[in-house]
Amino acid sequence: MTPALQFLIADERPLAELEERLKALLSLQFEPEERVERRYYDSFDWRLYHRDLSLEAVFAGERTQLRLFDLLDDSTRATLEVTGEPPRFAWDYPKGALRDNLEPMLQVRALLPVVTILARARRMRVLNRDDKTVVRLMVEEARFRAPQGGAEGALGRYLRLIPVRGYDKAMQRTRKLLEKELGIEPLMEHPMLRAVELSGQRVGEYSTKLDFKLSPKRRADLVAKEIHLHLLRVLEANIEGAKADLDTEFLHDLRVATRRIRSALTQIKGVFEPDIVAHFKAEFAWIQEITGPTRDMDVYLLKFDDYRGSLPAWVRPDLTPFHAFLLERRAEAQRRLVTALESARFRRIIDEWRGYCEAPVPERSHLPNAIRPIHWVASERIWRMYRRVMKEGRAIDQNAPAEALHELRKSCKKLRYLMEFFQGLYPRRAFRRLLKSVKILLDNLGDFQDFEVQAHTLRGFAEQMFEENKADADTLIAMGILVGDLLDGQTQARAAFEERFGRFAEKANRRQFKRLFKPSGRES
Amino acid sequence: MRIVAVYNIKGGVGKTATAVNLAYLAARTGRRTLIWDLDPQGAASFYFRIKPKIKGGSKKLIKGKRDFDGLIKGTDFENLDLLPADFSYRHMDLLLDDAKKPTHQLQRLLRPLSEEYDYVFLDCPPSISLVSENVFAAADILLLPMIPTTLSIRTLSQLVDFFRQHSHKGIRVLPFFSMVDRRKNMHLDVMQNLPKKLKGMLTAYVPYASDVERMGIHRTPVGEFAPDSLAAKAYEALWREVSARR
Ligand SMILES: Nc1ncnc2c1ncn2[C@@H]1O[C@H](COP(=O)(O)OP(=O)(O)O)[C@@H](O)[C@H]1O
Ligand SMILES: [Mg+2]
Repeated sequence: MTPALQFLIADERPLAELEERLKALLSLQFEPEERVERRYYDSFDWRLYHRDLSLEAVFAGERTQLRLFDLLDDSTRATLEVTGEPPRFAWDYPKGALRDNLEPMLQVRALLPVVTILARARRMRVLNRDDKTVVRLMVEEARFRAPQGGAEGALGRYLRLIPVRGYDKAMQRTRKLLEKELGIEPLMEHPMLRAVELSGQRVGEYSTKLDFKLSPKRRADLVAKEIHLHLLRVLEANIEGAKADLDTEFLHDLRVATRRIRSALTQIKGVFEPDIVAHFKAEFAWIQEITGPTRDMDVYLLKFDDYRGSLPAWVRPDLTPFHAFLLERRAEAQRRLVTALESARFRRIIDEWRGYCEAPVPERSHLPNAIRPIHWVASERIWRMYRRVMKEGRAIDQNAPAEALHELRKSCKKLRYLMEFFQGLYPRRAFRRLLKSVKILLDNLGDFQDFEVQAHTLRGFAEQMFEENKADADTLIAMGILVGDLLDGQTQARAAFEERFGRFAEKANRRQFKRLFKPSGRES
Repeated sequence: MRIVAVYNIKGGVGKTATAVNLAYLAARTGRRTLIWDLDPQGAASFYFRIKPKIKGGSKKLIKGKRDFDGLIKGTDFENLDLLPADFSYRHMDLLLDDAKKPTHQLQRLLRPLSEEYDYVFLDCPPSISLVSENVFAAADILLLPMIPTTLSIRTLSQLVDFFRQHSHKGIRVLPFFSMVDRRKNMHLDVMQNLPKKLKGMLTAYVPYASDVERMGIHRTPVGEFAPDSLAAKAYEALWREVSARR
């Protein structure tokens, strides 16, 4: 079927005049003028947009019509009627097509208003000889409004041509006629996208990906600063959402950015003055620290359903006090987090680090790597870290202490970040495979450590709840079962390590690492 | 996609009027709605000013050799499409009988539409036949308009028994009173002395109203030309009740 078509009408004459012209051209039935308010929603990281979708809410009194639709042809994927504002999270939607569509896309992310379009609209129907509707027209005088009292302004005048199923010919005829008589051309972009741009936002902009375009010969300190600026932008983009507690991913992304900054500071060696590195290392460690408690609680709350589900059915209700405890702790942690994020120290770290990264680099430098080509520095660092991972991994046998695996995890993580920072310098396919192999190993080491940490934290929670009289014996036993299961999980991860590392250390992989990263020959 | 069949063994009880008005209301609240006019008489098609004709006849369609795409027609109302009747539907039983699973052919034909529509209304011909068997197999909800007479209550009991025996799983049978004339003692009597065992009986009912008859003149649902009429309000109440059923 032909999709709906949108035209932008450049003509500035009054709408009534345009309607008169349409009336002269077509056999039209006019509907009374109406005011429509359409609001569009997406997650902060544009998960719907990246799949060419958007969620539209049309507000009419108490009732709100929701529509998940395709941005390319305006076709509808799923609909739902709700009262008032649409639910923020996929899990809050009633079972049905809309939820089925939203859940896998959004996961834990909230739907946030992106832009509102307010229009004075006039619907018209093109009739055939039997007075049957064969095409629908809609003329709209539209304005946009950014969420929360943001920018507002004129969006323009639209003519929408909406096909009626089974009347393709009438649609083509009407389209040709209008294009010829009104001199208008179809608009390729959905008005919502235009509204977003006009409201000063960038559609689909946010991304945590580290896929920089790097030129291999650029000086290392400059590239390092560019990488840092990107990481800092991601960190900053998440501050407001984390403070407002819109969803858990804001804080998560903020923390990942912080961790990457710390890693870049220490791992891209010899490009910045040592005192600068030391200072900001400590400062970003502080940010990591103040954001930790809330994230910890988020992790347990997000896992809570799984925890609960892993217990025998008759034990499950005993876990309820634990949930209440987590919520209470989280509320407290969140309050502290907001205070910390609003503190002068936090602002100063961000501003000073930005200032440093934006400042031009000195022409000459006494630092060992500052003016060397980034390609060399990157390969050197990755190669060295890879060798360390290999050495530490090979030293681990059945009897190795847990500490050895934790150390290996740290090195592995450094290797992963280094590789991610510099992926733009290497052939894509081969690089992706190697990065994947690092991630697979890291997953195993992560499990090993996370299970342990979770088991200990859970035990700590149980103790606190006991002391504060918040858990009776049943609840403590239920939590004890969870601790036991987590420790089992850790044992399994430990058992799987040898095989995982074996695959990472395979000859083919070793050869590729060597080929891509081992520095050789003369530096150019 | 939910499939709502409007069914009764008897003709002239308000099936088509119900299907047309409820489909219209569903579409008005943004639901993508299709009404399939299964009755060779083509009354539903007529109400929407669409010719009761399937290009090339219904044979290919029913046998699954032609998809619905070119056959579905948009109505005067947004979100509301119609699959027209065709005179050849009188032989639908024979065509269905040729299918692999003769009682599940309609269900099979409707499956590809599940992404496209939120509601499909089946306006059924009055009979008990292979067509109705197919309707029972496909529908999520079976709406049963009944004129409140002693006889119709008996028929309903028979039908309920029939569903028990044939164990059409997952189908919800929702009877409601149609063409209720409050001046007739029998109507009031029957409605007040309903047997307890009639589970699922809806509380909303459709009164006998000349506005419903006038649909034939206006060729649109009641809500279009008499939005404040008793009949329009009755269909709204009925739709509220039906759409709230899970
Ligand atoms: N509630 C009603 N009040 C008055 N007339 C009605 C009502 N419902 C249906 N009718 C009329 O009765 C006749 C049969 O109705 P229809 O809906 O076509 O029944 P069916 O589809 O069950 O055969 C039509 O002429 C219709 O206009
Ligand atoms: Mg009928």
